Amino acid sequence: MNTITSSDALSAHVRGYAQAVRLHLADLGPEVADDLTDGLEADLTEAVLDEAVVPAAPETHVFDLSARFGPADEYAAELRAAAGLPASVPARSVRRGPGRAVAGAWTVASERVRAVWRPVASTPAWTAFAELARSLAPAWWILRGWVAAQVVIWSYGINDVTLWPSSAAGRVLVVAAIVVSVQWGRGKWVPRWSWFPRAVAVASVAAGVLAVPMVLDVEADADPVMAGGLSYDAGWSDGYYNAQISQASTASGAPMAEADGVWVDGMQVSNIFAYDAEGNPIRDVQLFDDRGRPVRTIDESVTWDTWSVPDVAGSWSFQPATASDGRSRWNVFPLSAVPAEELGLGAEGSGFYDSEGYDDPYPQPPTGVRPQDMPWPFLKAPTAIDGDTTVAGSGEADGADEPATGEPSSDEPGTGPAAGDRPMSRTRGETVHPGEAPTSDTELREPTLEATQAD
Amino acid sequence: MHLVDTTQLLKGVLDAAVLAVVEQEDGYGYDIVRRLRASGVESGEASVYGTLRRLYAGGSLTSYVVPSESGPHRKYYGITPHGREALKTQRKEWQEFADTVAGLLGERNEVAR
Repeated sequence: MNTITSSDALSAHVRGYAQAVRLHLADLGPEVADDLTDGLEADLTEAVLDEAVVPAAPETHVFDLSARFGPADEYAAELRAAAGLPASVPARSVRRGPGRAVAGAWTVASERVRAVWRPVASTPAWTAFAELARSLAPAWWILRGWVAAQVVIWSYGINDVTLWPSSAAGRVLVVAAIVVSVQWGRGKWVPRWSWFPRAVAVASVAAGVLAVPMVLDVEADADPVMAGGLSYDAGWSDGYYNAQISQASTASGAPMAEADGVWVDGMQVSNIFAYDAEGNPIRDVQLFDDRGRPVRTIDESVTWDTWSVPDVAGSWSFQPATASDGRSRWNVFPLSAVPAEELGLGAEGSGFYDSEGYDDPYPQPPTGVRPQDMPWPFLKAPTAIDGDTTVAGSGEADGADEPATGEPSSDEPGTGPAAGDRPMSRTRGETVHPGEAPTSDTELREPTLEATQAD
Repeated sequence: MHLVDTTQLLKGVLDAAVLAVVEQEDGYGYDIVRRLRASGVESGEASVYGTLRRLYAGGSLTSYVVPSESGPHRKYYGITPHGREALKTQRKEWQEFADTVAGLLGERNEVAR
């Protein structure tokens, strides 16, 4: 009696163990799994009976098959390894239907890739390269952590990628992400969820892809640091400073990428409005710097950007003036503008361009849409300049070409050493010419030949 | 009796060992494990069963089911001509390998001759 009861209890345990083994082979498909475990119960039972001492009280005896054969998953792994079948991926064990088909296709595809790769991968040079790559893994773990932190920071709406965030929270995040990434790389702190390794693999690939633009962005930001030896935080004022001096004295070297355009008080200037000495607005003023370079507010790289304009709703796309030779002139102010929606451009800022004419140097207004004048900040400039009618250069042409009100120039060298008497009311940076007299316009009109010609 | 219990060493010759055991006499899974052990080859049971399946799939073994009066049926394995050829080749390779290693280790294995 005892023997029968004992073998009943044993066969129950054996069935349970065999079932557990089959579960770990389920990803191979029922046919292969059944073939692998066909007769497993008999073998297990015999193995137990071969060695186990029949217990004195078999009804209550618990056959610990795991102690005899090892855990079912290890037994299954050994079985499939010896049978030359691929090792199981933890997540696959419960996969059925289409999932298994995908997994199977993946196995086939990766095996094919490996087969193609094998001639290369088996060369000594490749082995050396692989070793080098492996030794660089810690650097990759650090980069991966940094990228992950940047993604989190970015999700909070800070879309400027910096090597070392300026905020304390950002710094803590970067350090924490790098520590976690390195620990995962070393196989520590890894949760035991079955899906986890695959999720990390996918996230790592994503991080690798994201790392490229992020590093490029940081590199672009870092350029001024290299050039000027200033900290990154100084970038804005740095750009402003450089813009200022490049217009005032061009003392600086090559302008930096960030300093393109014209800047006032740290804000980029989109449009410029000129007023004459009496404070009246002047149209179509051509601006050049002291080196003869056209002063452009809308740099080539931002001609497709849209801008908001004070006192006018909506966003606008600036248009250049057209010279008599048909070429665009961006240094003729004030610039006119076309509403962004007429051009099919998005809201303010550099956005997506769905206009077909993106190949154009700047957005071309559709037929029938004329560029509009932008509102002047003042109808009349608040300050009038006292007696200043001078323009740079010398010679008769200056007076004749006076653009605004046709006021004459008194630029006549040698008429008198009156430079010392010149009132200093003029703006800095303008040329002071000898021979100018602090006289009024009407008085100047008569003695100069040029004035007569101009009139 | 010294047991060949070095798992890594065994992996390379398990196929040959299993084929040799089956060549002597047809057997079922655990029976083959038992006979291997009797010969001094200590291998994990699952490894032997997996090897049997692989050799069967490769055409070196044939199999047939023998119903058991009590308990589950037995799956017996027998060697095929292809299996005999494979075993012959592996014997030769093993002999050459054993000679080479013995020569390298400075002690000719005269017994194996």
